[in-house]
Amino acid sequence: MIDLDIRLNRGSFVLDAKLFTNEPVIGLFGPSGSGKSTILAILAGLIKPDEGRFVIDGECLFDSEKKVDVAIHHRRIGLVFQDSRLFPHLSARNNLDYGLNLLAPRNQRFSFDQIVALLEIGHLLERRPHQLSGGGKQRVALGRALLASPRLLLLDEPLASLDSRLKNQILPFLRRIKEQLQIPMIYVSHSINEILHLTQTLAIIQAGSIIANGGFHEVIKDERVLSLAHSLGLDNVIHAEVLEHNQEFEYTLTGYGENKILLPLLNKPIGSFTAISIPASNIALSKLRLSALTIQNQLHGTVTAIRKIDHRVLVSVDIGCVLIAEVTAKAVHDLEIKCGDSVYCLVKAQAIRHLGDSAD
Amino acid sequence: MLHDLLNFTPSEISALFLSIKVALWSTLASCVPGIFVAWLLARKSFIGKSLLDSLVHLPLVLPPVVPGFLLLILLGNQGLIGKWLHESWGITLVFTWVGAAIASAVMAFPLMVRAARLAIRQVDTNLEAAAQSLGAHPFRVFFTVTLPLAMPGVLTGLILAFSRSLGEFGATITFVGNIEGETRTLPLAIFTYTQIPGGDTAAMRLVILSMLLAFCALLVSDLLERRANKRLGLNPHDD
Amino acid sequence: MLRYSILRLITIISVLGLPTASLADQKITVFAAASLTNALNEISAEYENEKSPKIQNSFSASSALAKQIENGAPADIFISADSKWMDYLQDKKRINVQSRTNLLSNRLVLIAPKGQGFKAQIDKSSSLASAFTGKLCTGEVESVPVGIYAKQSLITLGWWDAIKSRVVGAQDVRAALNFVERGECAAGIVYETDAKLSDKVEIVAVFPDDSHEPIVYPLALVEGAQPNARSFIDYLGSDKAKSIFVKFGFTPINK
Repeated sequence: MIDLDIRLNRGSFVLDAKLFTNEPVIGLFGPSGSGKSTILAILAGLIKPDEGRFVIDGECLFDSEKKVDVAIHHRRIGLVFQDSRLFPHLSARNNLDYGLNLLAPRNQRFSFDQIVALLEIGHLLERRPHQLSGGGKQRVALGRALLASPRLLLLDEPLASLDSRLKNQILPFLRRIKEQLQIPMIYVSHSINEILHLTQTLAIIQAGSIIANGGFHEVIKDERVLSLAHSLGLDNVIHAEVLEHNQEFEYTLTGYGENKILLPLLNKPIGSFTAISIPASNIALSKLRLSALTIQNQLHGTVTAIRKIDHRVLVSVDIGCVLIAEVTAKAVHDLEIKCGDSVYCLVKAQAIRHLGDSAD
Repeated sequence: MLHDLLNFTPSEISALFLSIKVALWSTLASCVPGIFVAWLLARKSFIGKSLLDSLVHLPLVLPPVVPGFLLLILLGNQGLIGKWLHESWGITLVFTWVGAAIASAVMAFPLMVRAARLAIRQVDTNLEAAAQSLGAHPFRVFFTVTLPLAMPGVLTGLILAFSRSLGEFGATITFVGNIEGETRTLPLAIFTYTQIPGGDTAAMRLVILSMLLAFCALLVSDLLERRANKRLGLNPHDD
Repeated sequence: MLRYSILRLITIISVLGLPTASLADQKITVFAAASLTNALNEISAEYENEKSPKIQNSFSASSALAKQIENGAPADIFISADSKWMDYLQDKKRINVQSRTNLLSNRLVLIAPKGQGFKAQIDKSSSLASAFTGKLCTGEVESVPVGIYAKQSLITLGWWDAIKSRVVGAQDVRAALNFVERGECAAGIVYETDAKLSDKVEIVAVFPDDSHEPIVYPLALVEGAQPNARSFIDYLGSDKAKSIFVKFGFTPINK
């Protein structure tokens, strides 16, 4: 449970953030410079707010009026950053042990072997940080933070410095942490995909204020959020079931509700759920189902909203879940698209991105 | 001539061992205060910080007789503090090797602090914060993270201090005099021999010895620094 | 026109050059034992009042001065505190033997910081070592004249063995005096002339002249000295100079 109400003034940047949530895993999403990292730093105790208070799980860690300011080493808040911040003079094993050794056995929530197995870093233990790959470093950093039995884990763009292949490698581990260890997390990212992979609960931050807070699909309806999200490359994320693979034509067929979505061949077992994303600008709309068309996916749904944000027009189409298509104003006008209309979302298979294992 | 150069008299050998003894103790004595002051200057801000900084650096810029003279006034048997030491505890510092070690420590202190401060400043504060977030008290962070990572620079500081102590002259002769076997370190011995007609060969012997010692110290310093850097995964400098 | 200007330039430069040359003639450099500092400074001042060459005095332990002269230091006159170092330079042919004479004599005394005197009997039956606690300061006993004399006296009186570990050898007699003045040394052995100069020490005893080699201050012209240096040597033998020496406690030696 997080109850946060803080203010910080640094000249050109003013932070005034309020957040109240009971969700165990929450994503903090916003553009660069919006204050995401600052909030994490404040929670961890690295930065002191000018005024305000915050309470984690019933314990007040900071209150400017009552002069409460719990020291960093007493907060039990784990931190994982974009740069792993592993201690270069210690082996991976000793890095992992660092926080663990400071706890009395009865306070150790997780065991060394348990975390090593969870993150599959057993073969890296005797290496020094400079001998680890980027992905290895981040997993060790995760393990180190977890072994200190934090009451809350803060992740500040932990995958930002990894290439997409590595990112996809690590995301499943993050989900394992959430599911198997059940540890509260706040995940900061400017990539909504990453967050959605982990949780559907979001807090949206812009220019130092939290402008929305809740489930992805509710939050997305907020106008302010929508324009923001797009400027950061909002994609439509669907958790689809793998239905069949076609080796000859190298495609995979997935299903969502009654829809069938075709995309390039995935290496995923039949029956498993996987997250895919479709860029809003790659969805074209048609009033009719078309033939003699190379576009493989025509997803049928109903228009639920049409919004003009900046110079773009975003059409929300409910195909079972809400997809957002970006089209031109002229198109909407010419086709006379309005709410309630039945439309087809045309999506090229090539445009669909595969995000990895499904979050929920 | 070569035979003369290698023929060390007992008093010359005594000067050598005394030098090493004084330099070792001097370095040991300035080790902890040196690292502490370096840490203060590197990590903390407080009122009077620049004053402390200047004070620490004074022995570097003053002619050595000045600190020597000040030590005499402070710690001599009739000195401000020395008198109390002498009368209450029977401790005498003037004319003793302990006093010589103190004189050396004072003169070498700024070198120790400079090197250590630089080293500590280069330790990423993010790592220290990470350690704290893992539950480590700031003291523990210093000893398990900051100091190990600053070790190459700290070692350099220690060896610099040691070498400086070996060569200390002005403050030593002013504070504890030039007493054979007690305070006559190598530099003082060389000086004595150059002041006596006929002492040139002996002086030359000791000069060569001093140079050898200095070389050894520098070599050891380089070796230790390389090893420490290697353990941290940094590339050893190839100068 | 140009030729005339160049001529003028050359004339000006040579004229400018002359005074410098003659100024150098006029400065006489004296290297003298440290114990002579005050007396010689006063005598030099008197000399400069009456005559034109300026006197430049350099005071240090005689051993150090001998070494410097041996290595070619530009001294005109050398006054040592013992014969040993004058002999040394004579062997090295660095002094004008004809000019060598014994100028002064002095006495050796035992001193203590003012107000901290102790009883010391000058004879073999008593023990200096047990007369006081702390260090005994004098010149470096192997090289500095006052230290050499001190060691001789201590050996003669049978006190050397018991006290030698407590002896602090200083650079020169003034440094030794200084340590006693400060109270860092409980006792010291210096010349009577030095002890009399300081109001921070008191004389505990006077060493008999026969307990050490005669304290003699030989004087000589250094080889290659300037001709006008002789005039200062003559002045040192004058009544005026002698009275100043006596004032400070020295005993002029009449040749």
